[in-house]
Amino acid sequence: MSVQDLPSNPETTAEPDDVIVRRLARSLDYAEGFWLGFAKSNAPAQRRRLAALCKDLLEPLKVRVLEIELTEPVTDLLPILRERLAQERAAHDEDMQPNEAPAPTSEASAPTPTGEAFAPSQPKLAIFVYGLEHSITSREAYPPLLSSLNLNRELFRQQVPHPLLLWLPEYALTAIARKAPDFWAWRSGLYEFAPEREAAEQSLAEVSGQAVHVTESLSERAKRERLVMLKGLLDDYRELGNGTREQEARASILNEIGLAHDVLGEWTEAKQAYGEYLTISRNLNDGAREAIAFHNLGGIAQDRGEMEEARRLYYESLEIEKRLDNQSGVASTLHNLAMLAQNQGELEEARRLFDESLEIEKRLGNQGGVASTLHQLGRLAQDQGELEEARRLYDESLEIKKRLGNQNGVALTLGQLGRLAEDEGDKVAAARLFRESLSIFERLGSPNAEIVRRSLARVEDESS
Amino acid sequence: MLTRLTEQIKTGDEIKKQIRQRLDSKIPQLIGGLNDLLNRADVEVQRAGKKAVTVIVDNLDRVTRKDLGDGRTSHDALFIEHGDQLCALRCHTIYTVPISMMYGLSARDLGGIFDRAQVLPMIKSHEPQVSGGGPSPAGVQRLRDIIGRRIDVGVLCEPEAVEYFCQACGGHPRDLMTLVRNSIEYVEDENQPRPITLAAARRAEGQLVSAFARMIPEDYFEKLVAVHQTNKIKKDDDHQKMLFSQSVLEYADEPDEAGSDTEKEPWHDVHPAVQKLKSFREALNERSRPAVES
Repeated sequence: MSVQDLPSNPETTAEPDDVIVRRLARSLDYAEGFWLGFAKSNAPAQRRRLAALCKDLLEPLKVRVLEIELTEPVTDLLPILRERLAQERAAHDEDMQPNEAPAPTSEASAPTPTGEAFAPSQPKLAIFVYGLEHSITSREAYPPLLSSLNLNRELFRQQVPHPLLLWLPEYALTAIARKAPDFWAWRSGLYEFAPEREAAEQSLAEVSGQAVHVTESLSERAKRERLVMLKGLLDDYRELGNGTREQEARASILNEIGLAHDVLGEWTEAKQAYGEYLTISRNLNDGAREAIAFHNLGGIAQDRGEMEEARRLYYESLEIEKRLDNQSGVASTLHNLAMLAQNQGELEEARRLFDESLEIEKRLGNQGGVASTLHQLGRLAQDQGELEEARRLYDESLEIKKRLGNQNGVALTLGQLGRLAEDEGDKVAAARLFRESLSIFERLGSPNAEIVRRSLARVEDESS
Repeated sequence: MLTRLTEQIKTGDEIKKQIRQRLDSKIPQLIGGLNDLLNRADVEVQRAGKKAVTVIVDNLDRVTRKDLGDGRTSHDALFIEHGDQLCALRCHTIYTVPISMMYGLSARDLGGIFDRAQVLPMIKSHEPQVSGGGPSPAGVQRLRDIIGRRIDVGVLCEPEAVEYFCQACGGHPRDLMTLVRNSIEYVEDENQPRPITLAAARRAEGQLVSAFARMIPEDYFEKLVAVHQTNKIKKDDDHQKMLFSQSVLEYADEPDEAGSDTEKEPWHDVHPAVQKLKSFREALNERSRPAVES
């Protein structure tokens, strides 16, 4: 029987994590000079545990691990590696005592008084890199990091004479394979760690259902980290299977991904995520989720100025919410519909819908919803020239938002109070309020920053 | 003095013209200077009893293939639009270009600009599917030699493992070495004679298969099956990408007679690791064997 007759070899059957780590440690031990490996893990907690396990296995083999954790996007990995290696060398030279300096002979080294075999140079160093995925987002078609990895492949061999292990989530590995194919081709090993169901479930519980204003109020960097984590979790659930449980999990995660993009103003990506969320909800026959999808898609449409489309989506959502008697959902959708009416100048209709929404929010004790609606009623009052009433409503809204820690909401209301001051002719107060609002929006990476910046410029121009 | 070629060329003929005028004004200077140098070098070279200077420019095959819109890629921008300048040096020049350029829509342009455009084929490890498939002994022996020159095969490998490596790499020398190296990780007993067993070889292949799994978009599998069954590729964007990513490999047959002028047409096949993917096998089952295209 020739090898051609053997049954086809399917993709690697899942090995337990510790077996893979042992394999990895062995390869790192054998490697000489530059060696490139990729380790796939979607969950940061899993990656930390595995890296620690690997380090423990490498210690008796006299292999030290240099860990590099990237938290920001980078355009080129090589300079970072060079710098860290230089630091390591400098630190190691300092540690070496004079009587441990290299012997001039090339004979086998005699043991030092500590009993360890003396190494002619540094002990072997392996490099683990975490966080490259921050440089590989879906926003750019051709992330500069991937171009530089591909073109500078040879320089790695010259400048990094150590085993180099890049830890990445699934989607980032795929991007490297497709867009930096020559760098990818130099890999000597690929170590794929299967998602752990328990860990995934825990991450899911921690991540889902987080109040929108909490997500909105994260710093821009925290928002992006959340996105990376969510994408990894989504990939994990894709691998874990396609049963109802997994689909439900993926649905929840997709909504969170949509929200994460949404609060960054990345509407195209948000719309795509919400769209996938809608599809899965339909597959699951899950009305509650469908209603959320329609509502959130309506929000995107409204932000993009597609008013008719927004109205249509809100009404789809409202119908389901009423059918399921989801009062909280009804209140939210009524609120958005009211804003739509307000934007289109239908002020009576807007007030009616806001009042209806506010009544439900108060009855449910939903403080966040109350604060939002009070803010919008303030805007209505301001538009109709009732400045005292507007200020009262803004102040009440602001107080609740501060209490809830809703930074994004606080910034929005401060911005409106700024406009109010401007309307009253108090440019100094207006500028102060705009500045306060702007600094919050900037920290959050919110698209509203631009709008407030223009308002600030306007009052500063006129008063100077 | 050296200008960088920008890949960020926006579409629009006017802008193209502007950029070329700016670049072009510097490049003739550069080329002129280099040619002066080469003329002088020529004299020395002759004196040393050699025939000519040859410059080999490597690694241009690794320029990222960016889509610049309007059917242009970064590869077109470099090799086609600046092709004449690349040929303007007064010496023999050899450039490595991405294999996809040889089959893309710009392939004919390439032929017009450069005196010769040649593809480095894979080692012919097997016969084309249209001729029945099956291993090709000469190619397999060559692959065995490659391994043999680097490791002590008799000491380290079971014969079945070696045969498996040769078949699984598709005639691609680097993949051959990757498979051998990876198989070391799966060795069960380091101390037994011939520790690299067939089992270890198969598991090493699994890594390669898995790596391809993440590279190939779902909608490519039908086309890949067609390439496998007809041993032909089409000159379109998708097939270019398949060549570039090496999920499709190119092979050349030996000429009929020694010293024969006619070169045989190259043929193509899907990488054996890709053929092991579930998606490929499913697409293969769905598709009945097509009539050979005339």
